[in-house]
Amino acid sequence: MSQELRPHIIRLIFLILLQVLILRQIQLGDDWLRFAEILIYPLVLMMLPMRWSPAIIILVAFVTGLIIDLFYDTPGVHAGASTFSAFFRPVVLRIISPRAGYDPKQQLTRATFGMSWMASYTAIFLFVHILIVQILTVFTFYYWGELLLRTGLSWILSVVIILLADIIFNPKS
Amino acid sequence: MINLLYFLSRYGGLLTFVLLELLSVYLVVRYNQTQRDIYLNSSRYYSGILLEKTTQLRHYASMAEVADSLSKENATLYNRLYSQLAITPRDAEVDSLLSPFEFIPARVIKNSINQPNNNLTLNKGELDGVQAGMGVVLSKGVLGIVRNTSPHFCRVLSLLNSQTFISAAIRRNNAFGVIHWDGLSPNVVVLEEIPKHLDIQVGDTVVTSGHSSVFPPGLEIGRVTNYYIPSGSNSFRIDVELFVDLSRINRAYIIRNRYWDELQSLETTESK
Repeated sequence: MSQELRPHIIRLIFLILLQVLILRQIQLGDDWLRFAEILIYPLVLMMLPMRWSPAIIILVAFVTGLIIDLFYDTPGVHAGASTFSAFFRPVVLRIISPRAGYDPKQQLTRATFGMSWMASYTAIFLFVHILIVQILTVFTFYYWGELLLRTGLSWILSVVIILLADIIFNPKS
Repeated sequence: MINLLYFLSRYGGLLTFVLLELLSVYLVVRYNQTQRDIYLNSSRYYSGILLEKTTQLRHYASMAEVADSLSKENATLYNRLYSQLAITPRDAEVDSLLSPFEFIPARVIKNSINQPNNNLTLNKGELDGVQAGMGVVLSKGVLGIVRNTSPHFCRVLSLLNSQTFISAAIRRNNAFGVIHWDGLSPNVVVLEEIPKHLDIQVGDTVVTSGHSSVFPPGLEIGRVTNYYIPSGSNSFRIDVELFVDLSRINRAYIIRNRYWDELQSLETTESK
């Protein structure tokens, strides 16, 4: 069990540190680009083992989000988004299910399912996650233009960064 | 406990999600200033709409009752007007001397009857000529005395307030005393200081005495329901049941004495 758990814990700690110590400081521009936020910690939630029960995954996601909120000084925003996307994760997985279906023992990585699967998984999962983050941040649908701009910019940047990081740090296949 | 945990881990995905999501949104609203303001403003906006609609509905439901009481009041006013016209001499100057009181119609926008000291708010103020100390009456009864005013509103010391004392008399024999509220029942007030040698009967009508510049004489207040002489006292203690249920009023008349300023200045110079 601890053998199986160790990579997840290490990934969790590493990505949270990366998120709050480095990515939080990055501001891309003064103009409309300032809305762009790079989120890399959702990768932790994406890669949690499939055979864990939904309740455990949602709980882990909530705690992860709370830790991020602690450093971003936005109590509840990332926790709420993480909870939502963790709940939504099985739906995303079903949408992009490979022809042979999933085996609960398989790891949810690019090495297992290939590049195009990884790209669509990241894209859909992050879109849901970032949309909820921005809704909870803006907290009104009145300025829906700003909401869409924030979501779109952050989404594109985060997907690109996550896929790049995955390719650089796991150059297996 | 183990079973509960098993149940949660097996089927609790949705439950966990709903609980934690609600907790998150609560955190967002509780600890983020911007989101908190938006939440409070929009909830106020929607609850405001709801409250306004229900108030409209309530007003609509009581419309028939309001119309009834208005027509009754109109009738009373017409009666008063014509009876006065009948006794008015032809000389116009004397006319204004005969009736120095002017009625300002007002709406009750806040009322209470269940406090030890009750107050009301009416929708007429300084701009309508209302001043502190003026009397407030109903079509059949006395409501109180104006305590202070703003440009558009005034606060009224209700008859149901321990600070209110109003000069009143028994209509049948003009025995006069002072009315105040003992704080017990919202439709019973107490008439005191009527000497014990006078004749009181249950059912006598109590009216304003006219011994002040605040109320015109003869306005009906209530009916005697009970009286006795407290031991060691020289005067009656009379329970007076009000004609009007003060919890159900929505219109009142503020009484302005045309010679208010003159009387005030006269009385203050005298007391110096």
